[in-house]
Amino acid sequence: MDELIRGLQAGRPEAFERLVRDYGDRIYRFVKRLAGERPAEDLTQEVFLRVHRSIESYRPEGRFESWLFTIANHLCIDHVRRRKPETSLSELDETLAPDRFASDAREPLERMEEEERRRALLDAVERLPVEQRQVFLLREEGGMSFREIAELLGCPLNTALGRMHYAMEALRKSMKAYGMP
Amino acid sequence: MECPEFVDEKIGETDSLEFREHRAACAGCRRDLVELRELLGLYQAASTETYRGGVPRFRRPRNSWIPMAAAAAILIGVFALILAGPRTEGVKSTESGSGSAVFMRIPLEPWASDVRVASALDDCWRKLEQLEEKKR
Repeated sequence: MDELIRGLQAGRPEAFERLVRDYGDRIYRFVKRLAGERPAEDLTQEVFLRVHRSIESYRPEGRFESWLFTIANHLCIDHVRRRKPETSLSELDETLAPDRFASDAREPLERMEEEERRRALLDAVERLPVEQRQVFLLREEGGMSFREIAELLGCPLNTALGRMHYAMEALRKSMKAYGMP
Repeated sequence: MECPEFVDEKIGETDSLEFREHRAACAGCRRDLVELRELLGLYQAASTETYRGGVPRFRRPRNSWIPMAAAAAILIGVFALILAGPRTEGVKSTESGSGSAVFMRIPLEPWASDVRVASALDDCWRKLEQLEEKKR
């Protein structure tokens, strides 16, 4: 990790390639679920551009990953605040494009059911209120501790835990119809 | 979720002795833990999209705050020269100590918007104008 940071600070192209390779997918998924499918790729690129611009001032006081997801989180929240309220259904349809989990008809029934469950869960995550979704994604995609999340959001630890609790309850409720207990 | 006093532990942040003892006797909490684990496992299995954007070109965008900050630094320098008054001895006069320099720190987060940068620069202008007023 130190080597990556030193490489980034020295402006080495291979360090940025590694950054994108190691974190691109996670950042993309985080951004996609928090800000939506349409701006996800651009916002992910913007995260890396911001890292490029500010890596010289990065001080390793916390974990690098937390710093990275803090940038991603701020960009997403700014984006969500700026954009007009969109019809969530169309966005949802786009996010979960029909062919995303398309399954070959010859595949076993269990596989199709599993894919349906996965799709339903992502659907449910994207329908969470933004505050709960933020905590859930920082935890599950960003790998951040609740303490780090609380610090990032500027809220008490109990608030972060509470939001995660409500998120989990909502997801469990949504998944009951798909055979989850 | 059962036993709300142990919600924090069940979400996964801590595993206190008290909770370990409690869940040994509480089937509801054990069930909660299994269900939460299953849910998060399913999420991890489902969340598999990949980023296809590649490494961005690290060109400095035209609306970046860096050129704006550079422009501000130049303006600050110009104001500093104005505040120092006319210099009659050319370059050597800088050693006299009569000249003044103005340094301003503009704390900006990496995600600061252009509006925020523009507002910070406006603040700089205002402060410089105040300094100029005082000098007069």
